[in-house]
Amino acid sequence: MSVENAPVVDVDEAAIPVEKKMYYRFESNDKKEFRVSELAIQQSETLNRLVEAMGYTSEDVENKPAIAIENIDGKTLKLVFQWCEHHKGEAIPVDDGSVPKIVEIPEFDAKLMDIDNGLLFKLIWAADYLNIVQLLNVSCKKVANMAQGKTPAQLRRVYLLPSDEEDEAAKRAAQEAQDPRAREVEEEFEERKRQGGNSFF
Amino acid sequence: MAAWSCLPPEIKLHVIRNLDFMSRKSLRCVSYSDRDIVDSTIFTLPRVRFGYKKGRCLIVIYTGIEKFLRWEMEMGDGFINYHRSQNTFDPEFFVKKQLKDVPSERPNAFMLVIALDYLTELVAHKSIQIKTMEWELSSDGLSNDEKELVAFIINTFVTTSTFRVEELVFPERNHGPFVRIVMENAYMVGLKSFRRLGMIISAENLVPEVAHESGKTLDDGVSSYRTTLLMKDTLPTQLGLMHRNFEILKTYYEKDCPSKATYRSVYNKYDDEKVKRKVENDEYVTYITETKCGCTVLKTHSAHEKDYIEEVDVDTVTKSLPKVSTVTQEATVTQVPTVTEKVKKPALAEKDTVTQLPTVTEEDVVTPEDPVSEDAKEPTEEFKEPLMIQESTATLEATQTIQTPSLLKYLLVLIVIPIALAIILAFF
Repeated sequence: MSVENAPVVDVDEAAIPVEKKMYYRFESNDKKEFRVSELAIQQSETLNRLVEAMGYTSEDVENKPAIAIENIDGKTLKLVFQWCEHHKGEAIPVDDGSVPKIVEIPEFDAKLMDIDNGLLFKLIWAADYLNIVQLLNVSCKKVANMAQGKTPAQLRRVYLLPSDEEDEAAKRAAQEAQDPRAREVEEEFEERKRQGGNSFF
Repeated sequence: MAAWSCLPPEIKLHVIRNLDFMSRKSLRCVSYSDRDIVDSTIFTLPRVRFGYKKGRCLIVIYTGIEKFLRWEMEMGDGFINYHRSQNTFDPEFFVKKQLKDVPSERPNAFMLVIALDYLTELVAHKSIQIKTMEWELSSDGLSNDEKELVAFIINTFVTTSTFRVEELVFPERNHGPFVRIVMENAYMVGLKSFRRLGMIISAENLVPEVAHESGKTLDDGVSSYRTTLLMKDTLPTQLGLMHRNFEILKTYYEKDCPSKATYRSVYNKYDDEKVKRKVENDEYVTYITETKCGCTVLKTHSAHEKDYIEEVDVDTVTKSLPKVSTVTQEATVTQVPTVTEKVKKPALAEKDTVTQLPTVTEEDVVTPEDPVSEDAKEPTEEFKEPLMIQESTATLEATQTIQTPSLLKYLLVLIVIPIALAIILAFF
């Protein structure tokens, strides 16, 4: 994907310093490119250290290829960078465990996370991978809120967990795929058991 | 597709720390790995209450301010009415169920078993930290046989479950034997205190305005408290309870078990916030904390002052004078007997070593002659030090050392001379 066609992340102009800003280019695993401000990158400890270590100048950013983030897809990365742009310049919370953490989800974050559960889990995974503390806090809180008042069966559906039957079927399929002989041995074993044999051998 | 099961345990932990009490319970039932992760995080419950009265059982789990889960069971005619509610006392929002097939023989015992089973299933776990657990166990309306059966059931449950509790609370009207079973037989991990809680209600007021308390730290480090809350304070009750608690403080004194008596009230409010310290006969120390919200009186033995000093805002202690040492002529006279009392006191500590003798004897010469005048000259100097105990103990040591020579003489006369005589007689 070319730089011209890259999805543009909304940038809050008021928050931009007068000096010349630097926008880093990142590429998701499905080759989507994003331009993210230096201040927004500071929300992610992983990316911040990465760009510091690379020591790119404004020319390098334009001339060199975009920084690849291999583990995250474009859809998730867009959400991550939207969040970072909105919260750029904000202090990063430090969790020293001294006080019980009370997390409140701001309106913007609530709207941003109004997505399907699969994407939400991907967002959590990305926040953890990129070490974005506050995004991880709010997304985990959102997942915790989803569990409120749910029975174990409802939780399975909300958290996209397979039922016991589906689990068994998946396990069997995996076994078969790994070793076709295993199924035959199992069937033979079951047959012998039905016939009343104490020992398989 | 991304799902809960794809998340690494550390992220799951992050989510689980945000879950409420019942969601944790639900998640524990989803899978073994989730159960292990839930159990690895500690959930703190501010208060849990279990109540039993013939034909009724109550479990209330408080999870925060005005946040609670409430289960109530009531014996019907051959069935049990079961009510569940969350954060509301409005019956309209109750979840109501009926449990049928209740055995016709001893249905009350059956209901108690169900309630205790439910309680232990909910909160008897190492991952549930209970700050305060209240047991309200009444024997009203129970025959002797029923009492025995209830005691047996309670004993069975508390001895087979482990609760992680910081404070156990028993209301005053509880049935004594039931309380003893819970206190003596239950496995309580991390227990810090017991409390007997009494309440004097009033039609005029719905919230407590006064609290009387006496407390003692026992040998094993667990504190025992007796607290009485008053919705409306009246002078006779106030004086009666204060007198009772101060008497307990005097009567049950033990050297190694710190004890105290406190009185808290919202009636007397003060614009200037300060803490006054008073000493009675060098034996009792009283801290009076005056605030805009009310006042607190804490009384303890001077020997145990340091154990409770944390409860008082020491920085604001005003340099007020002890009752006995006000700078008047009368005061100087009244103080004389207290000092002589000190001298007469038997030796308490085992510090009467010979090396202490010379240093103390010098003071000793001064103290009997004019000890009070010294106090009276510089009464404020005593209060420059946050703890006056140190000074008083020093004088005690002095008194001990005064007595040691005479004691040694007696010992010499009583022990050495008979032995010498015995040796002489044996020689002949």
